Amino acid sequence: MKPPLCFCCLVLCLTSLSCDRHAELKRELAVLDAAVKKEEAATQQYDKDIATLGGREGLTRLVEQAQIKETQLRPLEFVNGPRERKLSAIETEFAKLKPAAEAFKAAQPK
Amino acid sequence: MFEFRFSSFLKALLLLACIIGGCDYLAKLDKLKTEIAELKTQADTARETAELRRQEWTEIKAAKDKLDQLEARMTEVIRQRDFLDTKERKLTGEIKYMADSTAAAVENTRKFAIGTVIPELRLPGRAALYNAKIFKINDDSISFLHEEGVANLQARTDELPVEFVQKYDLGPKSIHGSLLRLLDELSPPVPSKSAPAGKTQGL
Repeated sequence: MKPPLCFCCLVLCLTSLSCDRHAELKRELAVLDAAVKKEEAATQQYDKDIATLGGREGLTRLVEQAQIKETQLRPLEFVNGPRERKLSAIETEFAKLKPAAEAFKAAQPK
Repeated sequence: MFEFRFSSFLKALLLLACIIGGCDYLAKLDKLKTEIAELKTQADTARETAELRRQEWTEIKAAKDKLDQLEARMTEVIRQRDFLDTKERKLTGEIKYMADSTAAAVENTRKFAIGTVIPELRLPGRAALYNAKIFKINDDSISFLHEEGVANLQARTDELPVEFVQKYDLGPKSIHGSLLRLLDELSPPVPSKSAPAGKTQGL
């Protein structure tokens, strides 16, 4: 092989290798860019969702409201159960007494 | 025929071109690598930021869900309370009406019985009374005027025959007394009205 041809081949090989390497780096760059965009989009979406829920300051407010509700709820729940049982018992007893009372009223002298 | 002469000048020129091309390529490569490194840092930062936002959102969402659950429970409890209020009012009205009408019937029955003479009144566990005339009836006893004097017979201590106890509604198991006891057991209008007023309006 003559020297010029050998030189040309060498140059072509180097060019080809450099192009491959360049393309590989470009691909890596594109992948990273896509990842950054994806994370940024996710961040924006979270920001939007957070704003919908009342913003970052909303957390304290929500926690406070939940505490207030719990405080209100506890005595109500505590009262309702026994009250229902008591009313049912009274209702049952009244259902037993009612016919006797009706009979007594019917039997009274006119 | 043309013969390419690879002169020293041309060789130098080619070598210079190769060096310049190589340098340019390496410079571009360096630039790309720098960009990639910057982008990697940026990606890490973006990931961390997204993760922080996600945690923040999760916290807020959990608090919101908890509040929603509590509000649902509150609505249910208030609905139950209102139902019990209605039931209590209805029951109170019915029992009160029944107690009042029974009281009137008892009073009438007892009034009607005053002066009734029973020729022979057999009593459980004691001597019979003859020509026993009823002169007073109250919630626990009947007073008789009989041949041997006066007798006040208590329903509570089983001195009276059962038919008298039932007929004049006497003693601790009296219908009217039981109705009054039921009325006492029913609580006065619920104090829970002071609890969250805002929610009751929505129901």
